[in-house]
Amino acid sequence: MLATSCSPPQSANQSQPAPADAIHVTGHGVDQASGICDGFTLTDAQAQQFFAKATAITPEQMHADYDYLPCWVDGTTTRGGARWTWRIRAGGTAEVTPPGGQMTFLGCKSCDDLFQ
Amino acid sequence: MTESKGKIIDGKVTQKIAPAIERGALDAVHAIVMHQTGGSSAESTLASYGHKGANGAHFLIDTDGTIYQTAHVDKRTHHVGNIQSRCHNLKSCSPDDATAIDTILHPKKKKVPYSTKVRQLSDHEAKKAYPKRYPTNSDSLGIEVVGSFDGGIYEDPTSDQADSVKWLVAELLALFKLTTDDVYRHPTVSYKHASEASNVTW
Repeated sequence: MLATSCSPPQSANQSQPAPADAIHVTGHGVDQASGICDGFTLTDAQAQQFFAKATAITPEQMHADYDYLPCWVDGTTTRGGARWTWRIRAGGTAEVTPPGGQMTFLGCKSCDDLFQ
Repeated sequence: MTESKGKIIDGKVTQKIAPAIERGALDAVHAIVMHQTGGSSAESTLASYGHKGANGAHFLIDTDGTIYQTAHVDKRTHHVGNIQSRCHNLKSCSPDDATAIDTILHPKKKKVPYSTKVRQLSDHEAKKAYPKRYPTNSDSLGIEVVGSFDGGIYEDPTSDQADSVKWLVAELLALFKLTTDDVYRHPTVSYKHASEASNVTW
């Protein structure tokens, strides 16, 4: 299997930023049509499964260890009354942004059943 | 610039060879792939290159323009990843190839993970001769430019980095008898964030 790196593999020491409840998919789309993952969608339940399995990763790890596919599903969740937004990509990564906060990243290497 | 046993001999290049990122012989150099690290310092990248099984590129350019050689230029490193289909992207595939690619992208078996499709397409492409395909780990050098990914976008290179990139790429093109057509940004070749190296020029 090919490997890649634009980044050093580093341990992600952030706390798990995955939204925990009231997970809702709000849309889906592609950055540009490629044929590799067009039509990618997730249900609310599938998004919840992703967040249950995913772990926090650094930007370096996201780049080194994951394909950043152009297809995505957007969603929101509420946590402690705050509304988080997130984007899950078909390559098994997610970008999670808390209200007024900095974007963090998640990755899942055992989520192939959700990304097909 | 001269080369001896895979090492670049030049006062502008600092040797920081990291054996852990080398993966056997690189028999041919057909292209150069430009990367950005996603991190904010060369130190963190160099530290990671010391880990067994680490992935990395052949050169690393620090924010102050310092050029480190991190792998021998006759050694393969894992810096590219799964490649896209060049002819598919350019809509120039032969009819037979287009059919083969379509079979990968739209398999009769309904449920195929995207990761499997990506790998199968990359393997299909790797069988072609360059430049009918994009460069792979097996025939390209990688240049990493230190650059963070804060806010979900890669930062612009510093002016010192820009100068170093131009010098290094020009020297490598001459050394390996390549042209600027053989220099690629990582997202062109594989599946990476579009802003990576988008403002790195040569």
